[in-house]
Amino acid sequence: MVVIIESSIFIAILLICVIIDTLRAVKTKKREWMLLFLFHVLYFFSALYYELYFIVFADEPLSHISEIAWYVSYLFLTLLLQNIRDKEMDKKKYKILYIIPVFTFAVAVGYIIYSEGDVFSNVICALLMWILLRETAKGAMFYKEKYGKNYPAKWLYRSSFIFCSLEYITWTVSCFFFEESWSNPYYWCDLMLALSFFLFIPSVEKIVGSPLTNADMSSDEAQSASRSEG
Amino acid sequence: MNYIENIYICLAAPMIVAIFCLDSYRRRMMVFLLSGMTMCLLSSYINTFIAYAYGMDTIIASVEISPTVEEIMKLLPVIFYLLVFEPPKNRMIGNTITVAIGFATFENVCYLLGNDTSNIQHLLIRGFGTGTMHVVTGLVVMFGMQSVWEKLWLRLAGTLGLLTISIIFHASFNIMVSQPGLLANIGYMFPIVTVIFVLIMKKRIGPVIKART
Repeated sequence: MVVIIESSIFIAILLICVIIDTLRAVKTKKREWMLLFLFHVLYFFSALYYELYFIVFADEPLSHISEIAWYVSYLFLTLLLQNIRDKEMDKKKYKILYIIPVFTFAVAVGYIIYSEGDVFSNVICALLMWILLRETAKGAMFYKEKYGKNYPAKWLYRSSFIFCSLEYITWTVSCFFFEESWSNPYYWCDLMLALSFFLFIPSVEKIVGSPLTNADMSSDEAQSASRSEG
Repeated sequence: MNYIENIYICLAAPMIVAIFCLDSYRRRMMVFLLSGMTMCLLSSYINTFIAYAYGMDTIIASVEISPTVEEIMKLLPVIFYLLVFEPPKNRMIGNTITVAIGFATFENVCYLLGNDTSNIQHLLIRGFGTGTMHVVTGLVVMFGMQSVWEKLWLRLAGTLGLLTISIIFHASFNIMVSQPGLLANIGYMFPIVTVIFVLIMKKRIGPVIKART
């Protein structure tokens, strides 16, 4: 029962995020909202599929459909961060970023050995998390260096970092605590993760319209707007 | 036991004749309708093979294997047409819908032959539900292939992501309709509500897509 209640809250929060993203994407026609919508909607459907499967068959899905959807949602979050990328960022090298693959793959090996997790999905997940965390850390460091403390997209990078951290905390906690009760920290971490989805909405709201983002879903419209401004 | 290939031949024969008699626009529509039905037939073979190989029963296979196989197969004729004939982009939505309709029609025919056909209310809900689900999932992917994203890498990643959305949407639908009663009815209403929502939204974002194409 705890699983169902917790998952329902999780899905409800994601549904609210999806509705807000849809309305904002339609209103502003900005690509950032579209990418955030895709991130939220994929996470929503994979959680819904997992929950429905659990309710109907009282078991976990055998195939990787929900996992693939989760991984593709990370891809869209990475694309969202890529979208606000500065061209100068490619030239910059930060040695500290080499820690990220060491961390993600070491944790993946830990999950494979300790909780007998699937090798393929853990490796894919480590790879995607590496890319996402690298994009987050590099973007935050670059913009902080360039613009100072109040750099643009600060909250988006922070939200992404909080999201990744909570994902790792939730996965790690799930390896040690198994009982189905509210005393299990896994459910609380999962709810925190659900709440972290809300953080992206004001973060994207702040970057839309800033100099970092000038592309919308219709580049024709963007061109005509820039012509009229000119 | 249903011999679905025999049913397919019966349904396809008049369409094949019609393809030779129609003008180019109607011929293209008929070819896409037939492609949708053909993909449905091939999907059922692939689903059966994978389910047999992994020792799955029909219900588990329908929620774990069919969504992935069907969505990928449904996309193949459209991708072939897009890559080989390089048509104008405004044709793609109509073609995708036609493939989806062909797919859903053949799937419904096979369902009718294997199940009770006396309850018109259930069949009405199922007909609209399944048909709408296939149209919605087809349109979701096509939206990614349209020039909403002008960069190639964004379009590829976007299309992959949207294909994943259609697969998981289809899988969630299949879980709900695999159960009797309220859950099945919610499942059948799920794509109908989605398509109504999309049609409302289309009025707002339609001009943007039209401008791009």
